[in-house]
Amino acid sequence: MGENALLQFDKASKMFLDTKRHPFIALEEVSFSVRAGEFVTLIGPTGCGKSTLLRLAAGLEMATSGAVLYQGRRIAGPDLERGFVFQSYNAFPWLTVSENVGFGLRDESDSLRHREISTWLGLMGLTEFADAYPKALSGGMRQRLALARSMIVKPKLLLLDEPFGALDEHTRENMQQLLLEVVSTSGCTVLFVTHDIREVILLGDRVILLSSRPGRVLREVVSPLSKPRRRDHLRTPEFTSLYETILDEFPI
Amino acid sequence: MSTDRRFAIRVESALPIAALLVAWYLVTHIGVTDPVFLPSPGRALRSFVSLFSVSFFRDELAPSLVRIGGAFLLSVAVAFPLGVLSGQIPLVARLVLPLCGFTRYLPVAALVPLCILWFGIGDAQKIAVITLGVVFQLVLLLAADSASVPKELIEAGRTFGLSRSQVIWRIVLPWSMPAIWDDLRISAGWAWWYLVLAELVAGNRGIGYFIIQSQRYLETERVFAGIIFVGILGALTDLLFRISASRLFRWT
Repeated sequence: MGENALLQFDKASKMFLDTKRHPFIALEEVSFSVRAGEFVTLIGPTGCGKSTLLRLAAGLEMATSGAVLYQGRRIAGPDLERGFVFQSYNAFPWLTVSENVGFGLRDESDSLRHREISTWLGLMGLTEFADAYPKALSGGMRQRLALARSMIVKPKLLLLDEPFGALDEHTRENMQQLLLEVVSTSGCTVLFVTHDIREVILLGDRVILLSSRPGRVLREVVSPLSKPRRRDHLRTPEFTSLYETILDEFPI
Repeated sequence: MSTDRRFAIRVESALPIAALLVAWYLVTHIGVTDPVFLPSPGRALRSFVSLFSVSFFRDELAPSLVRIGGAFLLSVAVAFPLGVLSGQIPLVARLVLPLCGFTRYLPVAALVPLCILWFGIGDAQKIAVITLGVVFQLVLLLAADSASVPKELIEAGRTFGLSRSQVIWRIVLPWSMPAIWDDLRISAGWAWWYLVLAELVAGNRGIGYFIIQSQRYLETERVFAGIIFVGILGALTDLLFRISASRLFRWT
């Protein structure tokens, strides 16, 4: 665990009580760290506690034992510095697209707000929907909106919980490219959770493999793919070998 | 839907009302009933039209509107904060909801004598009866509205660093406003019932007083006219809420 870890899980466990008040362990002694500027992807079978892990990092849940540290300090609750993009479309339906994008901006002057909002609307291709309500948007547009809403406040760490899981193949690939571009320009650190093997390899500088419940870190793999990553990488032998490695860890 | 089908649906909806009017007309014209107890539709209608006079509006309608307006505002002022907070803060819910769950089963009619004892027969008594009839039910309805905010919207707000009170102002209220508005519409309907009840039993002005006074003088057609007048006012209130809702909540 280096000194320069932005986010650090130190033997973090999370136990829940089920509906019959029986305890079950979602995460067990999870340890790993994310350095500033890294793009880390995390993969595991459904129900392995991936989302719980992200929620601990966001501060939406607290670890039952062990510690989750951000910049060396225990996380006590959510913070504007740690952005979160959820799997479900959760734009605020009563706000227009541009009001949604500007939701997290607080103290900025009006002119600065407007400039920031229109920049992000442009980056996400949502300019013509600025005054529309989210109900008018497709799934892909809603996730672009969610990404803009989180990125506009310049988080140091962006947490994404299977953000493209509900999108069709084509839209998902476009979103992956868009995410890589936005993240590399902003320099923000990313922890991205998914169960899509191609996605973890294509996006991550480093891939963390989580076991099925209770979730435990199986191993970490540094991506052999060069940057900037593009779809072409899907046909390289490096990609295929990493794909096989991950598949071997999760026998179906 | 075809135009023919739509027309058929209108006819089907209007049929029972038309049948009732025809039956009323026939019964009063064949002479099986005494006009003193059941006036013909024509006489009731003429009497209704004659209500549109300065003296009726000044002496009966205006006092009734002041009472129902005051009582409704008072009910909303009490129920709104209690209901919205009960839906989000368990401690408030434990303090408020059991009390409301019990008191709403107390028949308001049975409280009328107490209201007369305590508040006399003036406006205060009318406002007390209406408020007692509306406020407890309204708290329960608004608590359910505010509790129904999707968890993921609240969590999205929290990841932007919103405090608990900011979550209520910026997420819970705007999200539940359309449902709250609809419950205000429903409770405004109850307010009309309780207004008439309160005016029937005590007082010397108001639409309910007009109805009971007409009955005492056996001016039955004026009783009918008063009932129709209140019915139309209730329906108008309902319509106002519906129209304003479609303007206020375009995002739904």
